[in-house]
Amino acid sequence: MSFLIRLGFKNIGRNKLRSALTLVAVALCSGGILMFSVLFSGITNMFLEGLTTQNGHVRIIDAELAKNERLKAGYHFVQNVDHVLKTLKGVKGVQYVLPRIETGGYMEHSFTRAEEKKAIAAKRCVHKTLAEPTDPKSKKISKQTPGGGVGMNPDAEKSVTDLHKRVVRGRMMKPTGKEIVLGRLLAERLHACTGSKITMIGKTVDDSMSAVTLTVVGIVNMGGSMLDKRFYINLKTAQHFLDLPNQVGSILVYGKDLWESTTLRRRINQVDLKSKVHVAEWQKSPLAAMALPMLKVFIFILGGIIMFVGGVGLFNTMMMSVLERQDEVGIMMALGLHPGQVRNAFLLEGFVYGVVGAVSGVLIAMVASIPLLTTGISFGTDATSKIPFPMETTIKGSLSLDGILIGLAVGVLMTIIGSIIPAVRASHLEPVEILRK
Amino acid sequence: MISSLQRWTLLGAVTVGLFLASGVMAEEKKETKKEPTKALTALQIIERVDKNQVFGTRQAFVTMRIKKRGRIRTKKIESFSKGAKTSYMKFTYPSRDKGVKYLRLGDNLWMYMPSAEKTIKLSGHMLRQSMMGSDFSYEDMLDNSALKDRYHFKIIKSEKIDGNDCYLIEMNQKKKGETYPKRRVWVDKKTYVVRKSEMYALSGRLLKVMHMSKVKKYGEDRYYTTKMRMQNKLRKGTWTETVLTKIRFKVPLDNEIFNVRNLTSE
Repeated sequence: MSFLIRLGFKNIGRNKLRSALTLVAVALCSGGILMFSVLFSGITNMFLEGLTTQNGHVRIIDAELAKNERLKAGYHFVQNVDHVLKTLKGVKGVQYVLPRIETGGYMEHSFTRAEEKKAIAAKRCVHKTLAEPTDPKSKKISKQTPGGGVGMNPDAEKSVTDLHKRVVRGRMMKPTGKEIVLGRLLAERLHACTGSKITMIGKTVDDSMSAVTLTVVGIVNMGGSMLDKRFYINLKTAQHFLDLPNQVGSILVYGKDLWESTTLRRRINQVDLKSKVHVAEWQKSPLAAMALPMLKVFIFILGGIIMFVGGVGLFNTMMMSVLERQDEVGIMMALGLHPGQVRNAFLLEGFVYGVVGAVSGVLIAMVASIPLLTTGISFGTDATSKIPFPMETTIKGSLSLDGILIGLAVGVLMTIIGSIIPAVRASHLEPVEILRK
Repeated sequence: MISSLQRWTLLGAVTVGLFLASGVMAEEKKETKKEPTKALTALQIIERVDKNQVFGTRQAFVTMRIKKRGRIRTKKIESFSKGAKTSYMKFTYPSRDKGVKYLRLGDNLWMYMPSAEKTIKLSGHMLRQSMMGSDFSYEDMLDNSALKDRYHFKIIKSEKIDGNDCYLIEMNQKKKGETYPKRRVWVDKKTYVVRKSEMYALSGRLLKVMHMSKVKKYGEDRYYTTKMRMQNKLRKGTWTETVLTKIRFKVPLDNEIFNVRNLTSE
């Protein structure tokens, strides 16, 4: 055995260029897989984080709404919310509970040019150009637009979402009071700044007219055009506007780990919420149900391509290594080496290439991933503009032990698999024929 | 000479003839008796309806009950009207609607929402929208114009509505642009108030049905509906009932009531 090990290492050292190329191929394969893992773990984490911001680990909605959420939205609400929230907080594993209501209406901002000029100078606005007067005779300028937003408890949201960190002007709204935080694009469209008064006219759930005048206390940059057209108000104001006392549209529940959502759902279903509700894990949300299988297929295909290319490269290198040394194999077999020993010698050589190459590749990939892990790759706001939940515009990688182990395992295994056929083929060579050639 | 058989036959024929002739005459007499009622044309009936419904000025308190999505909500309104298209309404109940005011001047409608401290002018088509979530549109609630100027009429038949003899009259718009281009109304033969009204779209689709269940006499000659129930047939399971109390006609109303500035005052 020691003879075979020595032979294996001797072979590696004999043709340094060939050995170096083989090691580079293995390293590229393992390193490539790790880099791929770092990048896609980052994308997946970002996606899931955004998705759970919208859906919680578990989402509670009215049972009737759950029958057809698209058609029945805006007509069915979770009743008896105070009791539901209190009960949920007592459920084992529940960490955060976020009640929310979708709302909207026609938004109007009336102001004078002087007021806008002053606000821009005081850096209370995100826009820089003054609005053109709508009526030359009047000093008042009026900007209107339809707008949609969400009523939420800002204090509870802080624990889970980063909305408060995205405030670029002013501050977040308080849990009570007629305050509003506008998305960047909505603020620009209304020419609104912090301190502006916005009148929102809409309808209650019973189609009665409803109106409220709110003070803009903050402007947020969500990094996506869809989300930057929305507004955020406190739950009490939204409930009053829609005439929905003690009711909300949905309740998002967060546990410790998003992958334990099924346990969390079961526990919630066991308690009496005194409200006819439907409890669903985040995986059941329409967006997750559509996007997760797509993401899995994408990762499978791309990972498969990397592994295939790496494997073919390794196989080719090992094959060439055996073919180049046919004379040597013939002589060794003529001197009495068994075919099995020849096969093992090549397999051992392949294993050494695999281990050395994979470890080097993983180490190099880890170093190369540092910029991806720290700075990330920015892909601009266009890519996230159609995503209906907050998502970063910079992808940051995520290094995991799984990724490292997969990189190492794939490198070593592919090298060994790539060595088997050439090794078996070498062991079947007839020494007489080789020597005659 | 005629035989006795022929004589009897002739006598019988004359008797039958006289009997039939007397019957016809009696029928004619009956017809003559009915003539004054039958002579009333559809237009005359509607003129009598307008005489009851249309007023110079009116002050009323309205209690509105709206049934929607399985629950009933009550709203209370104080209303002042002057002429065909000048009205002012102020919500007094419930607390969330208290202080909401509407002012209609011609085809313009203003709304004051105290929660927003703002007067909002609503465009023309908004007059046809549901008022405060009810089955009534703003126009249904705020219009006081005479029917005879807006529709052509035709008597279809007589029919009983809630035990009251009524004329069923079909109405078709004179000019394009009516909210309800076609209507069928059941007019009480005694009081000339509308007991039931069906409102149709131009396509013939039934839009709304209104039942008037209580009629009161005001002064010498005005019969007025004080309780009505409207059903918007485009919505499922809804109705709105309005009960008018403390109605005063020909009440002197200050022009300042119908001023947009008045909306923002207490």
